[in-house]
Amino acid sequence: MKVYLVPILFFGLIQAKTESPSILILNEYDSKVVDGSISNYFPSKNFINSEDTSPFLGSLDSLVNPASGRMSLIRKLGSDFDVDYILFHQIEGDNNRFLLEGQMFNTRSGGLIKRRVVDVTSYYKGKINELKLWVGDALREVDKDWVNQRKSILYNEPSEIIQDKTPEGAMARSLLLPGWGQFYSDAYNSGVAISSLESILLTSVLVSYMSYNKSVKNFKTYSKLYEESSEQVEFDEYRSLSNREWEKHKQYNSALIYTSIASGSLWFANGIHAYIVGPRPKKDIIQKWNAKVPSAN
Amino acid sequence: MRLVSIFLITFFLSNCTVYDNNLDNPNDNEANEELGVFPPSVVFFPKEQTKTVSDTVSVGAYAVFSDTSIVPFSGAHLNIKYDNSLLEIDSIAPGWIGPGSITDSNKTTPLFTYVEDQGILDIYAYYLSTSDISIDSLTHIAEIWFKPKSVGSSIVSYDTSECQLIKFDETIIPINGTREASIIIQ
Repeated sequence: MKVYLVPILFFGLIQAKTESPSILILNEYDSKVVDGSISNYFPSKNFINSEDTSPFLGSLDSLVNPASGRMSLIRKLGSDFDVDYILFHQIEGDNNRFLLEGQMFNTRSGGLIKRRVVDVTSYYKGKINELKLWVGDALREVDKDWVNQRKSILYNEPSEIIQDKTPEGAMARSLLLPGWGQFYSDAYNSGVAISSLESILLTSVLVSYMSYNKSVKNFKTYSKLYEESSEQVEFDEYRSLSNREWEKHKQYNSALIYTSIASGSLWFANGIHAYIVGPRPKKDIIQKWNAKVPSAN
Repeated sequence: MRLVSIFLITFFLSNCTVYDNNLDNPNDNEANEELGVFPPSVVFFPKEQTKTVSDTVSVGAYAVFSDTSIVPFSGAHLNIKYDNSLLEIDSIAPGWIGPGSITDSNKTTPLFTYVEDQGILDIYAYYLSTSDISIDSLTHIAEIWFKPKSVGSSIVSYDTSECQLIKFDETIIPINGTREASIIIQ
């Protein structure tokens, strides 16, 4: 007896494991979305279609408990159609964007087991592709081609976009070398302007510094010669020279201070400017529209 | 970044100095007037010097007149005080008393004599030329060489109550100021 029971149980287990779950599909589209049926893309699944979507059109979020709010309805439908799961899809859109909401219920428990709301720019065969991605995700049968099709057309999620260039990077570069951050941010005109102006100012600082040092050196030399001269002609000449160098050292000192302040200010402003014009993610990737969760009410 | 900041701050602090233009030469009337010493004045040059005991200290005695008014100066009596415990007179020579001084190209010897007694030196110098009776604004009357006796500091100064500058007609030119010399023996 035992010899017969073991193969029977084993066969039963295999049958139970490989038996495909039955799924009732309820679609509410605002236009023709799919050529053919979604079931064509999931041949291993046992889909049953139904037209009556009215019990699902009320907003799920308006229920006290969205996960279990339709428990009795789901169980009844599961019993009537003899299915394991119910998939409800609703798509709304305009010329530019569409919004897909998918809900997956377990008929045994009557609870909501998965939900997705997708709000994307319309793209070629986008509605059916988003539908495939949703159902594939729910049934764990996502085809890579569907994902790639989406990636090839749509921008990534903003949070997933990795910015190789950042405003902080631009600022750091400009603070290190004026104009570098602007070039880094492809702001070539301002990069050329800032780097040129800063070069001129830095050259002025350097020239002022060298001239100041030379004047100080000459002033000290002539002052010493003046103090060491006892002859009228000599100390008159050295006093004149010394006074002249003293005036020059004062002028170069002022020039040094002002050009340094100008150069430093421009350097700092250039860093701020680089941050402002620094590369940022495009804010208009997603066009604005009045997105809302579909509701027939 | 911190190193750059430190460098820049150090750079500006060390290079933003505006030096004082305190030119001071006792022979320069402009410098003397800034110190309140107005011409005609009798001064020493240099104003200060530091020597060792083995050195000889040379001090020039000068009369400084205004650049704009040439006084018909002809002679001088200088009464000079110094610390004879620290310095002793080594030698004295006539200076530039106008075109007639001994170093002048004319080689005209002035009447020049001196008396030294207990740290007081009296110098008498007269310009004897008959062709030139006026001099430059700065007149080198005498050069005095001191021999240091010991380590210390001494002031060489004029006693203006005893000093006299005279014109060719022997009228006295009032002395309005003096400057002393500082000698440090190390």
